[in-house]
Amino acid sequence: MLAFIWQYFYTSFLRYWFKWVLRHVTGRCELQRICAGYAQGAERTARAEYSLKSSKSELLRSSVDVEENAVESRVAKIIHVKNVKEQKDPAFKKNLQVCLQQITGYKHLFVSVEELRNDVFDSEKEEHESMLLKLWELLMPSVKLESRITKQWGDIGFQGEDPKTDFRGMGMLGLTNLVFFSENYTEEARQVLSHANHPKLGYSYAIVGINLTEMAYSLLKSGELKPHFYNSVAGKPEMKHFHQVYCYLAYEFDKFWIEEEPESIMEFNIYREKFHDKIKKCLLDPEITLILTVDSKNEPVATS
Amino acid sequence: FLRRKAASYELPRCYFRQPNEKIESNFIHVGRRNPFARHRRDNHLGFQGLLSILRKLKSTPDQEVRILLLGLDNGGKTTLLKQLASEDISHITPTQGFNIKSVQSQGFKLNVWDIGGQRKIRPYWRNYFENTDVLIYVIDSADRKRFEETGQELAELLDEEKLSGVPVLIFANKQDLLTAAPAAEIAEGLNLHTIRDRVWQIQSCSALTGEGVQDGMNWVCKSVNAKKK
Repeated sequence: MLAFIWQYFYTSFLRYWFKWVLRHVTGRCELQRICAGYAQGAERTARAEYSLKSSKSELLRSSVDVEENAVESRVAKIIHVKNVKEQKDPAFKKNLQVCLQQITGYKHLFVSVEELRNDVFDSEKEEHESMLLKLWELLMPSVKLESRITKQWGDIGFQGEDPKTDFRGMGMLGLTNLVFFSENYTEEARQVLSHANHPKLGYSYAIVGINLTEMAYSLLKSGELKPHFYNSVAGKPEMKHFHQVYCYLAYEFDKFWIEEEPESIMEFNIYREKFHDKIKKCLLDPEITLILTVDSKNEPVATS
Repeated sequence: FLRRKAASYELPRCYFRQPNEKIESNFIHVGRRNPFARHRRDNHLGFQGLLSILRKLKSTPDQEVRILLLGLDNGGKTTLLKQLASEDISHITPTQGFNIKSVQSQGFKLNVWDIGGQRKIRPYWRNYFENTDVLIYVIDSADRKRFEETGQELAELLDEEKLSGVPVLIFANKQDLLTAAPAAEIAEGLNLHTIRDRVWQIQSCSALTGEGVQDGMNWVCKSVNAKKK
């Protein structure tokens, strides 16, 4: 209760008084102090985002929602409104611009991801079909697919004879992630597949991949992936950066699964939750980046 | 000056009110006019409370219902489960393993087990048979190519010793699709009328829109009630 009163009091009065005092003592506005006080990354961008969102000025509050091509002019407007002397703080303009690109870029990335997710796999579309066949070729280069509808799909972890029903709620986002991982980390993807086909510790590679796409998607949706993107992309994050998060999850989940030695595939959801919690905990670290890096021993490590 | 005078006047009054006991008893009197009545009521509550606890202890196990949700992959089991729990059904993924949810309905606590339908994990179904109160079998009414497969799986389930006598509800799901076969046609194709060793029901539904789902669950609760009597 006390904390709540304090919170209310702080956000509605104290914060502004502090800011006003600091502004007059340092001669710089809050955004300038943030940009100068923190290195480029999640700490700076997250603070700038909070500052913008809780600003009294409509112009600043709406800045977190501007279009990609309006970022530059918006930064100029903020500099004007906040009466920032550019010659005194020459780095500010560029720094704020990066922050704003990251903040708005994250939102736009979610819109594109949602679009791809809503794109249902359709056998009538040649583009979708060829992508599915490409996935097979990348994962099973030495085995030829006998026909489009075949039990062989089970070998890469689809449920039945036709993978199209397995994409479900993740649509083309699920397939694109699977293909991206196999294409850009071919060695690693095949290694994960071989683990998945283990007679005792095995799981369904493609199905689990689609489940992990759902995990990446929900982390993006809730905003929990912000620290990762703010740290790893100095500007607007692209779709490929989202696919890379998936690659990290797919690779790390496999390691996690093998280490935990579950009794059977029926335990999947229990370990999925454990893994989810582990990732969420990692994302609380302001310096986190979820990047799959392959070192000389062919052993990817998370850098944080 | 005036304020200080007021303060010095207030102080001794506060001092008299200080002793904690008195203030506490004041609080208790608020809202309860007669302290003796309060005692009587407390005794009464104690006896009744004990009775109701005993009754609850006795009746709780009766109220939990174990429901097993089975069927081929892509039948709509998870969507049905989420629909029952009033959860978002827009980003469902294939079930690896199982999901479980508890839903309150008509005085029952329904523990619904949704087990993945992929062929590879069907051998694990039997691990979940024990103590099942009702079996719900979900069929994709639009997937005519797999009617035979789904019929076989159902027949095998009905032959299981651990499931003998367990009421079975068959959901003819996906009725929102134009190509869906009507429930009557499915009942005939599966020879449901030959089932003699248990109560059964076929219910057409759409887990996506929720249509027919409640009707099916009403039957489930009814058959559980009948079984318990």
